[in-house]
Amino acid sequence: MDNVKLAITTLINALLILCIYGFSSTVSAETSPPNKAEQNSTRHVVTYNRDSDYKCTQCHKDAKQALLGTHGEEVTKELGKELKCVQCHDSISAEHRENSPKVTKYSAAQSKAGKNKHQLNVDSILSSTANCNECHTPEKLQEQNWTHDVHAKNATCSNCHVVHADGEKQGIQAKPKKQQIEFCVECHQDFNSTDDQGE
Amino acid sequence: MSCTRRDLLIGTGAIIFTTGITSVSSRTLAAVMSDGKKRYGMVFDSSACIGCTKCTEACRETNNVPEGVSRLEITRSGPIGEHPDVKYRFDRTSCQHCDNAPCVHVCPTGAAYKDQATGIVDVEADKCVGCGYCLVACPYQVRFFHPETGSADKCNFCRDTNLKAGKLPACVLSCPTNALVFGDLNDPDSEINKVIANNTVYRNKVELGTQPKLYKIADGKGEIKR
Ligand code: SF4
Ligand code: SF4
Ligand code: SF4
Repeated sequence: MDNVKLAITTLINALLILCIYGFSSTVSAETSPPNKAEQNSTRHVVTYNRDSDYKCTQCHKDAKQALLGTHGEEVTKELGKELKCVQCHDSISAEHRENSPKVTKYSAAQSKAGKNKHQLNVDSILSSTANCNECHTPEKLQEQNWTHDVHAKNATCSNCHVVHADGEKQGIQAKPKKQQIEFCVECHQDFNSTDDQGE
Repeated sequence: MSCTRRDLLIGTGAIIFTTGITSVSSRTLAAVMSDGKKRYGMVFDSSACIGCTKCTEACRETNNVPEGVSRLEITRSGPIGEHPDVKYRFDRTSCQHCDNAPCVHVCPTGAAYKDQATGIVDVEADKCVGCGYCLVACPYQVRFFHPETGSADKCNFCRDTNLKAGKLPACVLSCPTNALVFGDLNDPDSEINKVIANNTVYRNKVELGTQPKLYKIADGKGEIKR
């Protein structure tokens, strides 16, 4: 019986020694890499740039900063992440530098012909506003102001709103009632007089 | 029947007066104000109105109407339909310039009166004692007390402002969609009579016998609320 006990004790001791040896060798392995890195410091290190807006803002310098006026902190809080350029301006093509023919734009446009206004067909207006409508749902917009409803097919958002700027201060919602009425009058007078001329 | 020198002079004077004026009348409103019997009326085209309320603002500025009261209201009802085809309806609430005006009949001082030369129902502020009979009597509920003068007030087709200056009423001039037409209902060639003849028009509460002179063009968005 004593033999068996001795054999077990020896085995445990042997295992313990093996474990300690193994641990010490790992520790020494962990401390060694800095020496290697020091040797390689002359080589170029590639780091990932996780900011997809970085490239955009190299040319569109103030666009991002301006956007934060309308789509800044509040939006980040609501979405749980920052809004990126490509989330609205998608389909950027290889020919982007040549008049950017494919990227989705949201310029001011309306369905009726006006003197100094860009005219778009109803489908193009709807596809332009569809992206905004994902967050600014038609239900919310209706609640905020009835005029959203009647322009759904007839005007892009930027016809009245300043998206890349402090909308709280520069947008139509920041204006007193009298000036808001002038927004209506300006466009409607314009295309009504254009209608009269038979255009 | 004898014709005195005096009668003849008055007669020829009248002919020169009227013919002289009619040549001008087609161009300026100031001239027609004094030219015989007019029956001024208005058309509100609810199919053209966009509900911008520019007319209300213009009236406010032209006729010194303070905030809180109004000679003209644009009311909106809706929404009708689903996105992206939501519609709204717009209506105009203002004095109808009744030919048979209840407000005039009940006024004890004669402050509420109908101008015989133009058919415009107006208020002589100095005569108004503020009893409020007219406010109650008006079936269209368009009269109010002016906060500054304390007398009854309402639309008078800009009689003492724009009309006096030979211009069209402020609301008509300001409307971006030409939803308002103003003119003489007695003149068969006037624009207002052409508009009335060529559209489906209605007037509010005609069954009361008030003979209103505010015509409305239906908006084609459902039942007419009279
Ligand atoms: S609408 Fe009212 S205020 Fe105007 S004339 Fe008729 S009764 Fe008088
Ligand atoms: S006609 Fe003149 S007073 Fe009457 S609602 Fe229009 S602007 Fe006001
Ligand atoms: S100004 Fe013309 S379009 Fe605007 S609310 Fe008045 S009547 Fe309607």
